[in-house]
Amino acid sequence: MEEADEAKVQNVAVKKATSATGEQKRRAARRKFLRQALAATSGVVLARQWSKFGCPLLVKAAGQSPTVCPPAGPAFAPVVEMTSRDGRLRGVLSVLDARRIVPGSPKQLMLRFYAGYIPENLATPVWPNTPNAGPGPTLRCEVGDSVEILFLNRVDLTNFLGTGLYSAEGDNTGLCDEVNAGRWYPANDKYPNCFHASSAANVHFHGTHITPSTTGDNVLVNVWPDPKMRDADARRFQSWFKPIFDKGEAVADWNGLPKLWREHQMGPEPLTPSDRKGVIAGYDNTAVYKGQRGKLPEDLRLWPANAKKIKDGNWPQYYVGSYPICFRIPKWNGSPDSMGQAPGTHWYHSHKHGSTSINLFNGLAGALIIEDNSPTGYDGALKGFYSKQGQKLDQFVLVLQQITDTINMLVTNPSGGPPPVLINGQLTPTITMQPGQIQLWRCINATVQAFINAQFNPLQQKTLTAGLDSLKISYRETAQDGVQLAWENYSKDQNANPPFKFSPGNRIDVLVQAPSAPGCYVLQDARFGAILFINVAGRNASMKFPGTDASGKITVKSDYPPMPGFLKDIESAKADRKPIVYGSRKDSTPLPPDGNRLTLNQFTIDDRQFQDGHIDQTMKLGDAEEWKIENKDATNSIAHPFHIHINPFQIVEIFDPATMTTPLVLKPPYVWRDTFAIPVGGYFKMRTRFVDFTGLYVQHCHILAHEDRGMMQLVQVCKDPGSEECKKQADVKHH
Amino acid sequence: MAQVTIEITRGKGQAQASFQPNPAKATTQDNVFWANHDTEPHLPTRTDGTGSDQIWMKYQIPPDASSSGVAFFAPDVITKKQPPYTVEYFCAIDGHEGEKGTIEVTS
Repeated sequence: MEEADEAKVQNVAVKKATSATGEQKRRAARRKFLRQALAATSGVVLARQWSKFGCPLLVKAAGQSPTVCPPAGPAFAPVVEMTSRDGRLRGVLSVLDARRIVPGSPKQLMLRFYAGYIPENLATPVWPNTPNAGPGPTLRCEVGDSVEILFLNRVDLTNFLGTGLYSAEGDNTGLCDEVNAGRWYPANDKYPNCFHASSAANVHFHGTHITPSTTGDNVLVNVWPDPKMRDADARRFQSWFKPIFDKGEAVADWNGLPKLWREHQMGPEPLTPSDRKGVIAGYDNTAVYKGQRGKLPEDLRLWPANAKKIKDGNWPQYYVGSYPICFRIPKWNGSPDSMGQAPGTHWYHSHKHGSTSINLFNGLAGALIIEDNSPTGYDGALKGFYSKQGQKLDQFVLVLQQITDTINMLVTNPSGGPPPVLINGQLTPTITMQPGQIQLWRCINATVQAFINAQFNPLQQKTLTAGLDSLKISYRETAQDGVQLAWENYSKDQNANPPFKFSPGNRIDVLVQAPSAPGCYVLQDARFGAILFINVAGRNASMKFPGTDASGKITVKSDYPPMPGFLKDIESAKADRKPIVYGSRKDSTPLPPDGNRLTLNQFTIDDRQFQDGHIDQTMKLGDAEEWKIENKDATNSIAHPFHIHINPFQIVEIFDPATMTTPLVLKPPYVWRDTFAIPVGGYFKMRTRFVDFTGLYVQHCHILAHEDRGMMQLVQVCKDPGSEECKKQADVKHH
Repeated sequence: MAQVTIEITRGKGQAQASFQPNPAKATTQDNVFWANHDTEPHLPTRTDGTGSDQIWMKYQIPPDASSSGVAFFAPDVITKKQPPYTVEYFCAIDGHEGEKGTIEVTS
């Protein structure tokens, strides 16, 4: 089914991330010359062919020395960063659309994308600064900082016909996107667990430990596009939001938002159902439903849904054009009943149910790097270690994506296999390293559905001989899913060149050391082929991994950042919750004997699909729990990546029937994660703490087409799970 | 995979609306949409076939709105022809039968 899905689915100070080194610039110039020379003599080796044919053929085709990286490849280009200053990450993140260059695609594609602006200049984005598709700007801040982002959705719906909530037709049972009068799609998918309304957007801050409510990591918010918004409107919103941004905290409730903006959205207060105003009422009044404009049924209108929420003291879910994102990255307060934000490699992406997959396929994702530069913090300790050696630790953020314009994944006759894996929007870029140099690579799997399983090789594979360390790229993982590894896990022998594997949603930080032998090396994925080249050239840098003693072993613990107190192992947890079962079911609806019609399997958790207002798991604030997550999707044989928002978890037991006869009970210290692929036919047990934040959020499969199609649950954390307050929160939708 | 848009427009004083471009070109990886810039609703429908495959959309397209998507297959669902093939269509609203268009489908 994965194959089938792929087929169907087929501030602010702005600075450049670690800027290109002189050597990289020299290489870029050399590559340009070689590219021109090759084009004139033997024909250009098209980028698209690289992953198809692999590296040795590249060398042959290019006619180069085996130690020279492919001349046609681009130099690795960091994404422009928006960084915090004076404890505040301020900026504007706007969803725009345009035809963009996608490496590997023969033509430009119409895509939605995140553009980042400094607050003082809304005319020119700081990113993207190229016509290439790719991730949004990298956001970089520190633990304790406030995040103050004006979020805008300015997508032009005419470029994505059939993707407005009601702008197409709606089907008989709901509001899914349709192809061929519903025969091809949604077929037997049912709203809201179908692809729909993909021009609406929001932002999920994946990996953050912040409030899931109000202006925090609130994925239940949907912001509809306002393509008529002018820059002057955006400036007006900025001025309105200034008071809440200046406070730098998530607002407490609807009335905590500026009145002028509330009235811009919902009309004059008090709200009067008989006299609806504001941009939300305007949207309701002009939407097309079942072939008629302005005939939207009351229960599908956004204004009354919001008005009810406001009346009940809950947070409204629907907005048009603009939305304030405002929260603080929490610093641990020292209490054992609390956590702080783990500094590390996190990310942000669109998370509107029914649209997450197409939005990420368009590129709506970016890196969120949260640092702790105190002397014992993750960043401070690593930088400090190299600084003591008189060296500098270069670091790069690698955002892996697959980019396509497939309209809500309504691919008709797909061909050509999955889109290639790009890094920062580049196809097989080349990173330059000095022999012996160590770099920190922050790798983010922001693909919709690509499981990365890669290894480093010299480009000329036949020269790879066991024991030839001079030809081996070495690496050690320092963090998983944005949380540093404990010393014991970092220093163990198994962490020397572990499998370079991560699922959609996962991140890994790796200290990568170039071999002593200059040459070209490749990071080669088992399925996608070459995804990155490493050009090792220049003078030897002679760097060593933190913890390396005189004999070359990793034993010096003081070199390595100590584990923050709030990330100590969860030693005991309630384990009485029913196992959570990821699965699927075949549709039993009899199909009419006509033409081309899809029959889709329905993705489920606990044998049901996502349902509005149905809370699947309720937890008490402060509790630690052990959950068993099972994969009983016998139809599809996919290792569905389980992901839960807000609180990271630790895996204590795994059973993978493909490789084990008995469960593997892990020993502490455990590794923290927020996403883990459930073994096919197996399970894992994890422990997590529901601390600091009450509210509603979700757990779901991070193959995002599965999430869009129902493989998601609403979860809720309350102070008192049986209280009326807790029940009142449950009236939510997520689409 | 791309969006192919066919505009429905009516010139000043013209009795009938027209589909532009005509013929339109689409591949079996595209999704075809009609954008109605006329003051009346329209309902593009295949000329050939008698089954439900003839119906491309359940509801008419109101003024200043667009249709849902239409996809073409290899082989064609009605004629069973492999691409390239041509599909004729018309507007199925009473009085609009003279509004006709063609889509040339390639693989």
